[in-house]
Amino acid sequence: MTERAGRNGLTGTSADTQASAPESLDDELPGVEASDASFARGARDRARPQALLYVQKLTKAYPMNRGFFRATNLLHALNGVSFYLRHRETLGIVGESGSGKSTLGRCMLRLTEPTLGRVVFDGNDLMALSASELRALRRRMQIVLQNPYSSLDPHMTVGDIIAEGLDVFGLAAGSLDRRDQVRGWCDRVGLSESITSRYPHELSGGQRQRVAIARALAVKPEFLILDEPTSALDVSVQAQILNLLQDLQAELGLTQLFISHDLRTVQYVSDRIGVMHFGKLVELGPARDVVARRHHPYTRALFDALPSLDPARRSLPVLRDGADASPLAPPHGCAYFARCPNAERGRCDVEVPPLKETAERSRHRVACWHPFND
Amino acid sequence: MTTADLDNTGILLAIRDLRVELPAPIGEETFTVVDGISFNVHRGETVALVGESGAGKSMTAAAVMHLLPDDAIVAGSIELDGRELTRLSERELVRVRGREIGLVFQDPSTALNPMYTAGWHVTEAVTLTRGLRRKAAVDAAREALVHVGFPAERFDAYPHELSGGMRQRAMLAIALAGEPKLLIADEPTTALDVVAGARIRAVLAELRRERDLALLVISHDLPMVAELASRVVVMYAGEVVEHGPTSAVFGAPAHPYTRDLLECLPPLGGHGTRDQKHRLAVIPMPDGPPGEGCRYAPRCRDVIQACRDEHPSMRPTHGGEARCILVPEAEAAR
Repeated sequence: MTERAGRNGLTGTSADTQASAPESLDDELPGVEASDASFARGARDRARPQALLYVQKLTKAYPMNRGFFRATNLLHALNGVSFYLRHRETLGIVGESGSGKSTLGRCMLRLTEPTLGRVVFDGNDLMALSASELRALRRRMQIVLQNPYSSLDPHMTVGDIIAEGLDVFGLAAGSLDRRDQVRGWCDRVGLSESITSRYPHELSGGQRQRVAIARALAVKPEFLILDEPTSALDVSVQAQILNLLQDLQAELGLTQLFISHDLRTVQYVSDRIGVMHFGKLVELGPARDVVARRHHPYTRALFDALPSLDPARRSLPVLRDGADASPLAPPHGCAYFARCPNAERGRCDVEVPPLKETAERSRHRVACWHPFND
Repeated sequence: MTTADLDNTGILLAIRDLRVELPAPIGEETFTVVDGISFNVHRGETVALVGESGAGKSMTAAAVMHLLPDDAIVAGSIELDGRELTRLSERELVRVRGREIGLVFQDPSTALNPMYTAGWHVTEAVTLTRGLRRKAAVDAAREALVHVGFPAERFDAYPHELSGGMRQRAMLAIALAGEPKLLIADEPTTALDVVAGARIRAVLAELRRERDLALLVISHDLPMVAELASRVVVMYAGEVVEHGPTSAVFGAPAHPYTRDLLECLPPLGGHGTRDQKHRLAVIPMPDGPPGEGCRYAPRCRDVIQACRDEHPSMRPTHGGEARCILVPEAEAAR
């Protein structure tokens, strides 16, 4: 499980990324061997028996050409993210826009080709698969996107949209079975059957999101990525979709990655929460622990920024205005240094804090030299 | 500050029986999108207009700004500082927009021209609203930007070089360039993530304190509104169904719709949904168009026959009113 394995897996990467990425990325991944070992140990101890999927050092760097003769800079949208997902677990990923949440989801399915790292799904290394092998595996890994306005083909009827996966993977035994399956899914996600002959523009936002969910689930996936599935919806519709997702997960035994900037929703749906900042996971742990303890100063800032309905808590948060480091010139130390109330000059701005257990054998991990401990 | 503290002389914006009808896409019919709503915004006060999409919130704001489509039919009265806005000519309205009322939209990325810098946009707004010349206008624009927490050194940055939060600050600076007394903010933080949204809330709260700016916030984001507004106006299907002080409306909602909306919000605590078998409250979809009675009746879980028969009028609540026959009439005495 060396870094080379990850690099060799870059079969579909465009030539420019491949040529410019590895050298500078080596600097970005100090102590690869050591943390690999600890990850492998952790995976063996706790995750392996039940893990459906694990992600290791996943990195996506975009080359940014700042002029013809100048050196190529790399923009690290995703910077060495590692975690596992157990069967039937929901892992919530939160972070600000630009933190790399959506890139993570896309890279995990190889919809965007990662620069480095591995994604292992049920024993299959996704990076080592051929295009046709990957296509077959994609049936088992589906994604629902935020914007049901742009992610549904406007020229297809709802029935054809839901059945598209059935057609692609040959999961329908004839047109009658195809129709029955589509009807079954409409019923399951709370859409009336008459909707199958309509077009996406005729539907409300909530209905479109139900169609998107039915389409993703029609091929019977085991793993579902939900990228801001309710962010465009009214609260009452959001509640319906969240309840529906909860029912479907219990019924179908789905493993889910729930990506959202909406902290309130993420903490509600997730078994575990990962907090992303600047392309890295800065805190990862059981939802209840992350919400209650908020070890990382960034996690704390996120929760403090969450407006509360309780008038007693009605105080506007004091937020530091300091800018993050530029994604084009990654800092040597912690990317949150400039905004961090606990920052220690000479350490936090020099050394990248590793994601490590908050206590012996704890499932709660934080990447910070000076985490909050109250 | 509660409504009781404010006498009538403090009213800046008074909306009375406002009705907006839009032509239906086909045929002679019209849609009533705003159906006889009334509320006030006092000087220096923050009022929130909340409700789901389609409730008529944004149409109300558009009517105040005279930004409705040409074929919209508007009835009722909109008074700003004692002056009737519905009867003003387009020429007079140009003076009102920007100079007396500022407007901020939801999506700052589409509202700015990508060909021009943030500084240019604000300078343009200052030039148009205050008639300042080049140098003075640039200085005033810089000042307006700094005032909303926009870093002065990004004056010459183009919209695509700015984060969503910074674009929204530029939009705020544009809206405030003419030093209006009232700012209408339509979903000001909806397109932003939680940290950027909190900063915009802080900027808005500070503006209200420093400039005595009245703020009309339009949003479906109830917690955001709870932090910002002193009074809340809840709209449903073109009507006001409840209004009152924020603490009363959110702390002890009188109208079933307000209560149901609040119950839809995922609770905080991170307990993991599957452990607790917790389910979110759901407002059922209407099974048909509302009849003669209460518009919320088809979705209301407290519905009784009387709700369907008679359209309810407003009844007094704690410091406000609610349009529900289940609100005891004696509540006013409490």
